[in-house]
Amino acid sequence: MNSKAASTLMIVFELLVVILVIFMTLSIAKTYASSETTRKIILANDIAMMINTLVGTPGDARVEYPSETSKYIFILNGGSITVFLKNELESQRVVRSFFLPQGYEAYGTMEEKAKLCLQKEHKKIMLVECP
Amino acid sequence: MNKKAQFDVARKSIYWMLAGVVITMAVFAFAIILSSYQQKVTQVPPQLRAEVISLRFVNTPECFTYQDPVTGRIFPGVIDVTKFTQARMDQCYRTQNEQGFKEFNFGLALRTSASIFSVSKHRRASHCFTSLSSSFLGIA
Repeated sequence: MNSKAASTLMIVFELLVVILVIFMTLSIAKTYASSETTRKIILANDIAMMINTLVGTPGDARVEYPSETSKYIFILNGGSITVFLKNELESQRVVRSFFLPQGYEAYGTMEEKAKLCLQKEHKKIMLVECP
Repeated sequence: MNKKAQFDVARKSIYWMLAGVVITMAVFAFAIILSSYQQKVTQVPPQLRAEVISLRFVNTPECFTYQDPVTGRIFPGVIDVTKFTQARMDQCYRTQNEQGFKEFNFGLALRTSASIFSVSKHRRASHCFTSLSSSFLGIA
């Protein structure tokens, strides 16, 4: 191999490394700093706290989540709430758990609806679309 | 290939070996910084979470709140001393047996004019003391 060929090969290698580093940095930034991920975590935390508050509220009640939720799918099942986007991988779903007193039930699903409500009736907490 | 070209290639190889380590560390550091920023943005203060969970102890008849047996009226903030037992605590705040240590470990003490009753999660304490008044909720 002559010196020109070696030098060209090195330039190609350097360019590939730079492109790889830029791609990795951007993909990491997109994964972690994506507003969707952050938003899903905030939604799941808020709903888990709303359920804990409803458990600690005597009587029946209905609470409306004070924000738009039309992009997301919610599954409230027993002791956990799962928030995710349509066609999203299971690993990208955000799950938050809570602990209900004995005899209490929490259930409901909601798919891409603008307004989310949590309704407590006796010992049942339901995730429903707001009327 | 002449000597100068050989030296050039060797020098660049060493440079890229070192640069590879530095670039990898920089990418990892970037990922850690972003991850910690996301955690900071989405963090809920633990005191708030504990406060919200502990509402059930004083407001829910399935926990310790007094409920009039005739009218069914619930008296929020009023503790029924007959309900204040370890068994009731275990029914009211049911954490998982295996993973429960990650959750709040509530310890509650009810002080009456004659005695103190206490219940807690995980510690399995159920004691009775004498001579104190007023009531409080504590988080252990």
